[in-house]
Amino acid sequence: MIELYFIIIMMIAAALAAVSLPGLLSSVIALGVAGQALLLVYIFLQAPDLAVAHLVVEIIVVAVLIRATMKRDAVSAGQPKNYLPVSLGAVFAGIFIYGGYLAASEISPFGEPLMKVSGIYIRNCLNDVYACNVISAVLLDYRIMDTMVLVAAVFCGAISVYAVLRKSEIAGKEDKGE
Amino acid sequence: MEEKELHKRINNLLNGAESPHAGMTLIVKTVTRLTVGLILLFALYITLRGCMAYGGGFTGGVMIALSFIHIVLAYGKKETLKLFSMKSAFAVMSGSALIFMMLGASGFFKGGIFANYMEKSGGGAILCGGLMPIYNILVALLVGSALFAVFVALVSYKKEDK
Repeated sequence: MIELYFIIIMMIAAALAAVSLPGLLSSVIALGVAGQALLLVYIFLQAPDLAVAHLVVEIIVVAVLIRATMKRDAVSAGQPKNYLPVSLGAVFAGIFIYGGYLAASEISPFGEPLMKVSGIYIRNCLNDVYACNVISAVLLDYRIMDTMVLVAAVFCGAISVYAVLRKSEIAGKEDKGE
Repeated sequence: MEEKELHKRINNLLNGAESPHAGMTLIVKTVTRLTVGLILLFALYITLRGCMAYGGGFTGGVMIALSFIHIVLAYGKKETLKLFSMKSAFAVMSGSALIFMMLGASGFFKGGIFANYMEKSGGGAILCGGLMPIYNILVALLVGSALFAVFVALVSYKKEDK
């Protein structure tokens, strides 16, 4: 498990670099480094299903982000003149980190899940569904209502992106027509 | 300054605004032509083997979208839209979502909504797990066409500079 700590330190460094680098393109690349490090964490924790999905989604997100930040100028925040917001932010960050530590210490240890239903799924999956991949069986048989909501969410997302961005196209056509 | 020039160049490559040969260089186009089929084949493999090995509909769908995005990046937007237009992308998306819901509703007559009523043959075959492969294929088609439509919308319908 010692390699996990190295990967997490690399993720923290990449996230800090993404915040502090001057150019937006370099920030996107640093964000990609953080995402691929998370992929390594998934592989070390033996979740190949999640790792494959994360890999492809990460690639598509980086491509879209590079395309989106192509024309933007780098906005430099500069040195903060007022120390009150910075100190307040530090205080709240400390509170949230302490709360997160308290919440994480309440979680039951690794390998002893609180919910017993996952054990039922793992035991009965092959006889009920005839599928070796328990994750697929849960997604497409036991909990297919969740997949239905996923389908609806992806559909509505694509439709709404098209509806929001089409407006500028219509406006551009009208401008050209005039 | 250098970054701005780079951005301008990549933008021109993406939109194919200036040169008649839109897209990237001949090397990139050739490699794209050779690899896109393999990417689609791997997406099909990941989708169909969803109930046996890791993967599934969502992952395969994102791979399908990535192969089309690959074509957009290499050949430009116009060539890709000749191959797979926005209208057909929306048709595939809506159709697969509709068939998904109707398959779920058809289980109402066989014991409950989204009942897995098809005969479940043994593990190891492609068609294992009853209706699961069909749901996998439908989710792959939906996610692939939806993400491709989102990417094309983000690429082409940008705000006009004033």
